[in-house]
Amino acid sequence: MSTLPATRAPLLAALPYWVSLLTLPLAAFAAYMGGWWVLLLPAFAWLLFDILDLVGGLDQSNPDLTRPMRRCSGTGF
Amino acid sequence: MVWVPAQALMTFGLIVYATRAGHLGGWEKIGLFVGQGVISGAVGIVYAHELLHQRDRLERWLGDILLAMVLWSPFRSHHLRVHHLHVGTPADVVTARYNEGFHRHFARVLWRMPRDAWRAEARLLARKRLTMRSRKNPFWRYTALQTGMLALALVLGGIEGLVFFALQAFVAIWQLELVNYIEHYGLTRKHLGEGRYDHVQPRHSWNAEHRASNKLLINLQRHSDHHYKPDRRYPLLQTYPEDEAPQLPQGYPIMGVAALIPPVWRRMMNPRVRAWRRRFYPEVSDWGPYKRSELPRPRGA
Repeated sequence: MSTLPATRAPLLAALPYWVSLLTLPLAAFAAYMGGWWVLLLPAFAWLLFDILDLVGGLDQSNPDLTRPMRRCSGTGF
Repeated sequence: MVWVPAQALMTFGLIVYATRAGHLGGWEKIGLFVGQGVISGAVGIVYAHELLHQRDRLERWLGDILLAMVLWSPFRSHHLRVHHLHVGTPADVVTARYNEGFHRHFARVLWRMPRDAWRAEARLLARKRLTMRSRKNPFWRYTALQTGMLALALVLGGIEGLVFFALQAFVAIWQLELVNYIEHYGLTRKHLGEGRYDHVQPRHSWNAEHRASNKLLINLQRHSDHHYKPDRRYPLLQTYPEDEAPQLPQGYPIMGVAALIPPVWRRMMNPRVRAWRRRFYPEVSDWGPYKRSELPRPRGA
């Protein structure tokens, strides 16, 4: 296990957590297209992240606890 | 902050669109709202969970709004007043019992969780010499918010909109409880006698360090640390070595699929639970009462 450097830009570090916002255009696209496309949202949550987990492996780094946090983690959520 | 309007836009936007779209058949609409429910549960409730743990009033309100959007507002009371205090004991219905399949577990949680949440709030109010009629009873807020969401769905989509809203809410609850099932499956705290249990420790939660799903689930899979520091913000959650906290073989998305097929789940997880017992509680020889949830309820539960 390693500790992430405190100097890493907060916005950059937070960027991957915004991945869930992709569901918004996916939902709109699925509704517009209809048919089998309506399975896009479950596929995003269940199938895509199964594959990404297998490919991406583990992240055992620990964040720096001395870094100050703002409301909603400063990431927009 | 961003997710709350995003989920509202997605849920109610789909209700407006799907109830008026001529090109979508019945099954397509059902599929669409099942998908929406998966996102409301897998993503929305995870954010709600993060928010309801914070001290900031606005954040807790946002968490309440997200929970009302899936008609599962009592989750807040249960999670804070029951689950975090009594995880791994018979008082916590969302701690899944060893060898119990998900479907049976889910049916039990559906009726017991709201009841236990109500009782926990009643006990808290009674300590302040208040009744459930008090304005401090959060169930008033839950009822108002959930009624508001149902009314909005009705106004925007008529009866069809209301049905679709209820469908996505049910799927979201199912999704949440699937995650709850995984988080503590078979992990019980040792009974010390007379309703006393050992403290909650990192060993009492299943963890996963999978990079991708931890981004989607905002580190919920670092669950041991969440129980150690419930108000710690998600980017700061820590990981523990395997000799302190048990690790799942895969991330929650794959484990969720496995949990839907109980024989597959048992094959994957039961040997791990037995190994966990040998490692952390070698002195316990009879796990029967733990498995059958026959031990006394913890003091104060």
